[in-house]
Amino acid sequence: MKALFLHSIFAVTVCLLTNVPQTQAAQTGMNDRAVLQELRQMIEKQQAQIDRQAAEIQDLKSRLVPRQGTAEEEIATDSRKAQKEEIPPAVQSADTGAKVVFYGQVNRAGLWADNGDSSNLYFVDNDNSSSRLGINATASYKKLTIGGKIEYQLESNSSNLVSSRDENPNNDLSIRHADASISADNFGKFSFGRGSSATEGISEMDLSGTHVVSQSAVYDMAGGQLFYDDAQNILTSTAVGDVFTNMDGLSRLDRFRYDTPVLAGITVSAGINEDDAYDLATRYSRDYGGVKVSAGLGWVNIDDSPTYDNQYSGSVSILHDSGFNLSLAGGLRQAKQSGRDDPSFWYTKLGYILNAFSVGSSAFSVDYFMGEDIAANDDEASSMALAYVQNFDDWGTELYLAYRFHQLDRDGTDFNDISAVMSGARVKF
Amino acid sequence: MKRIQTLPLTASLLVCLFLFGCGGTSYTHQPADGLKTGPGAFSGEDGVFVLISTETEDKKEQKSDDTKRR
Repeated sequence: MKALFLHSIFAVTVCLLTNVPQTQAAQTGMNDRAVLQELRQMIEKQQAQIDRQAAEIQDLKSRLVPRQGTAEEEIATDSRKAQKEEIPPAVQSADTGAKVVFYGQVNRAGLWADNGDSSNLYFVDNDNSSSRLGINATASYKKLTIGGKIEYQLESNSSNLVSSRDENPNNDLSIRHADASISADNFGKFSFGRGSSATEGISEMDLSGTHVVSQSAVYDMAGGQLFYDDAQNILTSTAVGDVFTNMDGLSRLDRFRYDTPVLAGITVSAGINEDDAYDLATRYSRDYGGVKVSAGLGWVNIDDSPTYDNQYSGSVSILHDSGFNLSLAGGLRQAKQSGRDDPSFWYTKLGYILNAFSVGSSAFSVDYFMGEDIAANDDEASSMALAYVQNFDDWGTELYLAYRFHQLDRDGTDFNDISAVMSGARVKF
Repeated sequence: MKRIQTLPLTASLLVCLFLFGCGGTSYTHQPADGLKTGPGAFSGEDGVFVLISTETEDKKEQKSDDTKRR
């Protein structure tokens, strides 16, 4: 094409030149050569320009083709992204899976307490089941599951700490769980980090439906309230929480814990804990098609404890389909100090769950607690409560009302009884 | 005296638990001071907000079957 173009231009030029009269050509022979030379240079310049333009066109074409390919790739990538959002990758395998959940609840109440000399109203966080936020993560591969749990408790004015001497105890934020675990169906579960000890909850088996406001941990409702000694007319420093305990294992702490697989409803747990503490527990939960049973028994040993060596405690709760339920708990500590009697307690609760309202069940209970030698020899601490809880299932909410009475008999004192009324709501997010 | 009574009491309770374990179906007991059970006000039936989930339906069914077997 290039040769043809050159040839045609040259031919036209020659043709023009041949039309010039011969005489004139003869006279201007030298000038003609110069013109020809000039024309040739012009043609070469034009040809060079054409070549450049052709190269540019070619370059543009070459750029255009990959660009089309990139656009197609972008469309494909977007499509893949959309598929990723719609369908998780693990869908391809039935043996793997991961889940991360966020959860929380708020449990706020009004607490009125009367120590026989004065009364006060407090705005509290119900320590029976405190306000909290947490994240729980699990990842499974075939039969193996790895887990992680972080949970914080957010208690502004904990109900078991407020008193007439301190209406705003500073215990707003505390960590409940920072726990990692690995488990499998055939070998059980190993947990390490901060979390429930093997014996936590062992004295608190309770199917009554009123445990949000009334349970064997009777001091959770008004544990900070101080006894008033009528004989000396003074407000003592002896608090409800000092003379009542349900010996509920080791609560939550930093530990290494192992739970066996569940066999016929039975599981055994063991823990090696901070402060040279060891615990062992067995739990049992079974539904007999009309009767539910939950039970637990635990042993604790704390080398570093200045007050006791071993602690044995347990509880059982039975719920019949009719709604009637019965819970029992008890415990014993072996005192370290010579001359110190072994502290012990027992607790019983009778309850009834009524399904009369469409919004949710209503639970009622009456309970009684008796503790001996808990804070001092010959101490007798007793407590009784009436409780009512109304569930609102669609709102994830419970409303509750309870009255609790505390009595302490101690040699050489005349403590007034402490009465407390608490009413509030637990809302699960 | 109390110390001597503890061991037989523990053993008796363990035996009772094993005997009771022969019938019925298992269920998970919720701790008294634990999170409220059941649905949440905002999270609905699950009671929790699922941030990430790649669990397959097969896996969920498998877990459910395992629980029932126990």
